[in-house]
Amino acid sequence: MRTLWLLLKKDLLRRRRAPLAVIALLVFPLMFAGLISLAFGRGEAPLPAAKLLIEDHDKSYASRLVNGFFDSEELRRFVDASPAGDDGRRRLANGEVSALLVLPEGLTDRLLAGDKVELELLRNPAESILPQIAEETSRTLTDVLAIGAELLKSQKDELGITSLESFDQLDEAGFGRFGIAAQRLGRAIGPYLDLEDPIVAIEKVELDKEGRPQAEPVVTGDAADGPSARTLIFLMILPGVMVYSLFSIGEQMMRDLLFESSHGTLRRQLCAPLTVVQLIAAKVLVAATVASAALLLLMGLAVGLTGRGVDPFGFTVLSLSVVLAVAGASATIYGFARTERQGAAIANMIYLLLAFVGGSFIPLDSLPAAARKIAPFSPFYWGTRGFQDLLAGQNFLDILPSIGILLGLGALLLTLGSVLLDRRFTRGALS
Amino acid sequence: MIEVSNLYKRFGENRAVDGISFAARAGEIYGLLGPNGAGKTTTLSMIAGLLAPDSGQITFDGVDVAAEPLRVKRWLGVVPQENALYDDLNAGEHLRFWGGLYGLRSKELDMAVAEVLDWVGLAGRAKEPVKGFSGGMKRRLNLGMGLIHRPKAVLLDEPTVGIDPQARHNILEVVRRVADAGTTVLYTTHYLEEAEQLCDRIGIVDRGKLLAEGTLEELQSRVGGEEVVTLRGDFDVDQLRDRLLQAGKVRLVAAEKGKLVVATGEGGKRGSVELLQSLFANQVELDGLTLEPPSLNGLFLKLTGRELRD
Repeated sequence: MRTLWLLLKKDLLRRRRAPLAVIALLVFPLMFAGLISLAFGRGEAPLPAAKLLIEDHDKSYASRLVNGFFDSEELRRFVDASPAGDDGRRRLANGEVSALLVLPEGLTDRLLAGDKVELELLRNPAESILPQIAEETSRTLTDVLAIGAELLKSQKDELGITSLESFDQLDEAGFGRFGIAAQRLGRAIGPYLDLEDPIVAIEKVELDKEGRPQAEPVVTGDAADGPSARTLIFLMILPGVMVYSLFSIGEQMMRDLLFESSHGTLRRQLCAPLTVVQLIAAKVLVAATVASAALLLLMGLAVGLTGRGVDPFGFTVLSLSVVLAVAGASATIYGFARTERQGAAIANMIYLLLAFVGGSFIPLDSLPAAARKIAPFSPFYWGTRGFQDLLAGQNFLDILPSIGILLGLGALLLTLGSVLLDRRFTRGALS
Repeated sequence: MIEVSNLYKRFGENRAVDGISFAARAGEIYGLLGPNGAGKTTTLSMIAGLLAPDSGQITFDGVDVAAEPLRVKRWLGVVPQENALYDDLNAGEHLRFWGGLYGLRSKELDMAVAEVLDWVGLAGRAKEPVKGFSGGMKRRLNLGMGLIHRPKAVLLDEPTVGIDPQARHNILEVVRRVADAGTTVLYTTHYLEEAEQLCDRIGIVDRGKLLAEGTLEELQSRVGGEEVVTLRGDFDVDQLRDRLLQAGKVRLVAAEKGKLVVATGEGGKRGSVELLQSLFANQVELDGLTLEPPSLNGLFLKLTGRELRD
């Protein structure tokens, strides 16, 4: 144990003295995600509008208000809402739309009565950014509805609505104007209203491949406290680029094995009373330690930006899984690579490919269907998805598939890499 | 005591070590003298446990290196030919790291670091990064790292190659001091003067074989008063060789196109003069002539027909 600690301490000290390479890999995901969010988070949004289906079981005033809300010019840039029809859920399961919002029966009555209402939002699991946009917009809708209900109760005269029947005189545009007016008014008076426990909430539901709901209700909506669109895009992009950076950091740490081999220090360490297994384990530990530190830093930043916490247990286990996969992949690559340069070239090529296919750089919904099909074969996909889900408020159980796959893959690769490296040491190829 | 018996190591067709046997005793500096590629480093690597021999046995105080490598490694200090240093660490950190690997801790480690820094003349530079060190300073630190745990035996692989005379002097002084303290020192070099000056016993190696072994006096006595004469020129080598051998005044060492190496036998200097007179009388045209007085190089020349510097 002490030998491992000494080897680890020595390498960490060297990294601290020459931190530029690691810093560059830490800055990369921040810059990448930052630039993407700046580019897509302002001006004419080049992102496609999220396709949202509305399954209307209310067919009353509130549902007309909802339609009017989504019909506003401001919102149409982000969300393309349309009635779900009979095959709405099938279309969602087929990945044709980003989300489906369910307006329950009796919505209007319950709103006017001041009863609590939950709007169910079903998200397309194959997409990342667009369902998030639909969800955030729906949260704003819940505010509008909540404030609208409050207004109806307390401010009927000021809005010129003297009775419930007067709603019949309003056309769709009128409802839209009412919605927008209510939203503006809501923003102005929101701080003075008791919206900590809003009467309308979003119940978010993830679907599995067969279109069955996956998760229990997760979040109640309060759009005023949520992240801005720019922050949202940043947070959607960051996990993927972060996972890519973690793999690159792992590769760089493991590359040190060949650096030490070519500089004679590895040979010299093997003259000391330590085993090859200890040497390999120490390098793996260095990779894991630096990757963990990077992960903590980047996720800390992401959590700070959202203002929401993440499930600490889920984060810890997912981080360990990713770090294991990082160390395993790096050990395997350097089990094969003959030189530092060769190892770096192989790692860059493989990691870039897996990162693109796994949706680390470009959201999966923007990739061709063929790429989406092979995405689950990339560890980057599971790492990216896991961190995205955590940031979206999901917990350990929700991200269990990501954790399981990364743990399994990491253990497999680490075993393979260790065997390959041990064989090379035994043959004297590294010493 | 390090005992090496019938050691063999082959890399492809190349017999790097071809049946070497020797023993280095406690408190003794045993020098392995030979040109580059003679098999010195390969032999040392096998003793250090870095390479497995094809056959043969290495023991340290009776313990088989192959059977208990970690146990033997604790007793050994290794100073490789290249400076195996980390540019970003300072001298003190290097020594602490290596001392730690050999099991030194806390005060014992502090004392060992201070002592070794003093030995190698780096006491005032302990906190400077190694990347700012001169070649000589790096060599001295390299030596110190092999001594930090007070090993029973030190393996030094050409530790003075390419350094200034002052640093070289310091290194040789430290090696002498270590041996005087009872440590076995196995020292490889291709510098004749170094072997003559430093080593208690010398093994001459070439092409993987141990050609001769003994103290400097013993080895010199093997040369006797004999001088080795190298003749170079555009002469008929076979004809000249036959003529000289028939005259019975010299012994053939080596003959190749344009070069004839002969030893004068017990005739010594007088034999050389007679040889020159004979060459003059026979009007042999020479481009060059070298006289090697009795020395290790002469012995090497006598044994191999080549100079150590070749």
